[in-house]
Amino acid sequence: MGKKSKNSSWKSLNIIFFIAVLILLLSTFILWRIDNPRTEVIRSKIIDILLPVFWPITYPVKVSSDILRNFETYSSLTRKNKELRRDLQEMMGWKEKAIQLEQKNAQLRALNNVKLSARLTWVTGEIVADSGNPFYQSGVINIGSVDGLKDGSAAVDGLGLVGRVSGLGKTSARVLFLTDISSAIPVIIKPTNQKGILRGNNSPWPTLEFVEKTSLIKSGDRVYTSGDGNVFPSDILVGNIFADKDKKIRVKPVAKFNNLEFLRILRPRNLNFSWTEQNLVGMENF
Amino acid sequence: MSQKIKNSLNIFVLFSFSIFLLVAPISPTNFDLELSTNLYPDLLTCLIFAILINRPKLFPSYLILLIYILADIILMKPIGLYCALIFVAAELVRKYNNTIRKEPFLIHWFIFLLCLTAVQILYISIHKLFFMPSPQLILVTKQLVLTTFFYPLFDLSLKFFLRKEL
Repeated sequence: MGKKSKNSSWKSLNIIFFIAVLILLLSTFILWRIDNPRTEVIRSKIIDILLPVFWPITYPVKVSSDILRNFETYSSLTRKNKELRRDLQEMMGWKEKAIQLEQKNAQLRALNNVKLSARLTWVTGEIVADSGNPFYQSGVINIGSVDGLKDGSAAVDGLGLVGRVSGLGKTSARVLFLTDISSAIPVIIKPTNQKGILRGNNSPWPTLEFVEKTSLIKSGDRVYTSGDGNVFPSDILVGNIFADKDKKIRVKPVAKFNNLEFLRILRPRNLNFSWTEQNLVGMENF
Repeated sequence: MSQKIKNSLNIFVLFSFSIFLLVAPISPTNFDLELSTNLYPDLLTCLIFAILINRPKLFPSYLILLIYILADIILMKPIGLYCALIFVAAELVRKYNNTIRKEPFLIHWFIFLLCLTAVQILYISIHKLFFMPSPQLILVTKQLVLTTFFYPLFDLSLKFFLRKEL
C-alpha cells in the first residue's frame, strides 16, 4: 500500500516536472521569436564557449573523411590526369590572352592615371559546424569579432560569394549562405549590366528577382555583386544564370556548397575620402 | 553496486556518443548534390528513439533535454521548439514502453516513423503559426525518409548489444 502511494506521488511529481519543462521550453521559443537579436547574441556567446570543447570531437571524423576523399581521388587518377592535360592546353591559350590583356590594361591605366580603390583585406576561417537541415542554410566559422569581422561582411570561398556574416561572437561567427530563404543580395548581371536582387529559397539555386528586361538575359550570363546598399563590395563573382523548368531565372553559385571548408571573410577597409561634395565637378553651384 | 556503476557507465557512453552524432560533420548524402544541398539524416534522433524504445532507462529525460537544447543552439534552429516537441514524443514512448518494448522490430520502426512525422508536422505548423519563413515541404519529407532509413542501423545494433541482458 505504502509502496503504491509512493509510486503515485512520484508519478504526479513527474507530471508536474514534465509540464514545467514544457512551459519553460515553449517560453524560450516565444522569447526567441519576440526578441530575436538579443537571444541570437546569447546563442553566439554559448557557441563561443562550446566550440573549443567540441572541436576535438569532430576532428577524427574530419580526418577520416579527408582520407576517404583522397582515396577517391587516387582511384580516378588516370582519368583526372587526362582531363587535366586537356584543360591545361586550353589554359595555355587563356594564359597568353591574360598576359596580353594585363599589359594592355597597364598601358591604359597609365594613360588614364587611375588610382585604385582601397584594397580589401581578408581573414580566412574554417567552417566548424554546418546547420545541415532544410530550414536554415548557414554555417559557423572559427573566427569572430577578435579577427575584425563585422556583421554583414561578405564570405567567399576560393571562387565566389558564399554568403554574409550574420551573428557574431568573439571567436566564432555564423555565416548565412546565399541559398538561405532570408538572404537577399543586390547583384549585377554582367554583359547587359542589369541590376537585380538574388534571393535564396533554401534550394541550391537562388532566384533572381526585380530584373528590368528579362528578355536580354541569356543562360550562362555571369552574376556579380553590385555593391549597392554598401553591405558587400562590388564585383564579387556569384554565379551563372540558368532558367529552370518554370522559366524562372535562377543562379547556379560558383561557390562549392557541397564541401565548404575554408571561408575567406572580406574586411572592407574604411575609405578615407580627401574630397567633399563641393569639390566634385559640377557641384560648385549648389 | 557494480550494476549501478555499469548502468551509469552505459548512460555516459551513450550520452557522449549522442554528443558526437550532434557535432560530427557526418554527411552521407553529400554525393547527390545536384538534388539537394546539406540534407543530412538526423542520426541523433535515430539513436535516441532506438534507446527509448528498447531500454529507456539508459537515457534519462534530463539528458534528452540537455542534448536537444544544445542541438537547437548549435544548429541555429529556433531555440526550444524542436526540443519541446521531441521531449513530448520521447516521454510518450517512455510512458508506454512496457507494451512497446515487447513488439517486434517492424513495429518499432513504424513507431519511430510515426513519432518523427508527428514532430515534423507540428514543427512546420508552428512555424506557419508564428509567421516564420516556412520550410519547404519536399525537403522536410526527404529528410524524414532519409532518417527513417537509417533507423534500423541503430535499433538493431542496440538490440544486438542488449540481447544478453534481455
